[in-house]
Amino acid sequence: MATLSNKDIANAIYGFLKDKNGSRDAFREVVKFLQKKRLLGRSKAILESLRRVVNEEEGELEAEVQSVRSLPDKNKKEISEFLKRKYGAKQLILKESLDAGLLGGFRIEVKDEVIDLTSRNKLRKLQAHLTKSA
Amino acid sequence: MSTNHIVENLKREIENFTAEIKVEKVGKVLEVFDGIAKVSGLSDVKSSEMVTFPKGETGVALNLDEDTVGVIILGDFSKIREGDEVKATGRILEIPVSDKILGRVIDAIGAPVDGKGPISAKGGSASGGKASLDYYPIEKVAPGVITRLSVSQPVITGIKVIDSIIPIGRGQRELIIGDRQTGKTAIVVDTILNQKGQDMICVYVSIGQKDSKLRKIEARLEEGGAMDYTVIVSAGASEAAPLAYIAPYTGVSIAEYFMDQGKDVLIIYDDLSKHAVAYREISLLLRRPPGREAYPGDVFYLHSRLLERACRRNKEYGGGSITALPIIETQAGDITAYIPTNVISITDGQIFLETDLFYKGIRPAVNVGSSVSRVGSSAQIKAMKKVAGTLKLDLAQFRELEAFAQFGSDLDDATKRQLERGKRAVEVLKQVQYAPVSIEHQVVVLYALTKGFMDDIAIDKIKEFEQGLMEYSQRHAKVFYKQIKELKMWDDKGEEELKKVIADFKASFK
Repeated sequence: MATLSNKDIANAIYGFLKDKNGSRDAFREVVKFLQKKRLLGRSKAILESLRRVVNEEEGELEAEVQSVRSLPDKNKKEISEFLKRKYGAKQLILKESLDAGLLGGFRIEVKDEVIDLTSRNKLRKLQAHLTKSA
Repeated sequence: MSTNHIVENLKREIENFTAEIKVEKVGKVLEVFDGIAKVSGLSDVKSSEMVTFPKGETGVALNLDEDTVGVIILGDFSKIREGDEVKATGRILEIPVSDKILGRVIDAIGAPVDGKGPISAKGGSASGGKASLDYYPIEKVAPGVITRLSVSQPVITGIKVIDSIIPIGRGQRELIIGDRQTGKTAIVVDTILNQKGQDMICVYVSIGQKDSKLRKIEARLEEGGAMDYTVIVSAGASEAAPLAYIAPYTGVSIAEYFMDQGKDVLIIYDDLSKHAVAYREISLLLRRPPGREAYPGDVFYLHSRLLERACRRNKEYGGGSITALPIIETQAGDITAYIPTNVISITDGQIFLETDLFYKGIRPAVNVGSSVSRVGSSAQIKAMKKVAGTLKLDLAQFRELEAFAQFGSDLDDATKRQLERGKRAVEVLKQVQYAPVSIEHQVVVLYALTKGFMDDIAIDKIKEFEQGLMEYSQRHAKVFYKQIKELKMWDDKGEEELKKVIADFKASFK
């Protein structure tokens, strides 16, 4: 038997919980099932997958914005609107983090995609450009 | 160039520079160990796609799992840290190629390692050449049936026993197999040396060899003037397994670059046993299931897809050929181990070297009985075919009789004759290292042998006779030599001349 992937299990759990309207008993059954199938060791990864499945199904999108200083609300709103449009998400959870090493500008991380508009990135690209042609 | 000028140039470069804004696919390093990195993210990465690490190292995505990607790191993996950002490039691993690569020693990713500076592009000069380098992907599907031509032109190795009994044709794949210290590398080095003036480009791929050995080979090739048409791809014993794994593919990509120009290329993989071991290491680290001898299931495909890229293309598709000489090192003569049987079945024949023969003084220590060339005979020149036609059979019969002769001393004349002839044949086929013999000389010597001219020469005088005969006949049998060179065959006139010359020489020899 092929091993079940975390994603498959997460999908099944999501479907099951949805059918049962997320009742407490349903959760208990899920845990029982995981224990019976000896999958509790993988519960952390399964939970991570489940979170992604839920996000996807509910149209939620997590994004992280990194900048040197906290961005003004206006900019954040613009970014949110842009990302919602780009990824077709209903809801956007925008996390913010500060990093002085970026030098300037900001970068957005969504899933495994990055839009890097920082000065650090620009400088790196310039360096690569100048050293390549030599 | 003055300082001002440099500053001006820099200014201009910076002004013209525009950073492109794009969405990049990135991943994060989860763990790094032994040249392997597990990376999360990179959802769109392709198999064999190049990825880059922050410090500039390159990696290749090999294992595409559900949430993670197994990446082999080409280069120094000690600089890579957990949490580092990994970027996908969207390109399959490729190496820079150029005509200027000839005479250079490069590593598995195409960077020069011989300290002679960067490799410039075709037509460009070493300092700031304008032309850009061509890039060739290291993995490519082998040429199809329609584009191919059967083997019909010889690769002259200059080694008598090979050119006469186990001939190699252009586009052929001939395995050289034997234990350690049986002269496998010696054969290929001799072959490279003999390609001078034969319109052949050589690529020597060294996999897991000692750097000292490689240096010695390079020095020998340099001395023999062979580096002018040779490229050495080196993935030494001290380098990580991923580099040893890709080195042969790098080599064959360089060979393809030259073949695409319609040239004939000879590529040597020294050796594929170490290549398989490197791949086994990578596979086990990537947690792929082990099979026989702990090699992964696709180890056959590893070598078959590599050797299938050796071919001879027909005129419509640009001509050119890649002849491959893979080397396999056996353990205690065991050719039934996994990798040797695999590669034997892939190649078009094998040259089998034996320790026993080597220590008996028969060098090159080729076991004529176990060695074959499945397609080479159609590439042999007519004259050679004629003189060598019965040689293999004679030698096989000699081996059998030799075993018998040990039991009794009363042998009939025919058997005795055959034994004596066989001993002389063995003697003639011995050859010292770095002394390739031209095809014309080979034909003359083998003619003298098979026509019985050497039967009454003492065994210990055979070498001397052979040497003398080659020099003498080159001076006196001009018609014969000319015919072999131009027509690849002699006629009655040439044969008469040669017979007379051999007789004359024999008279003076005694």
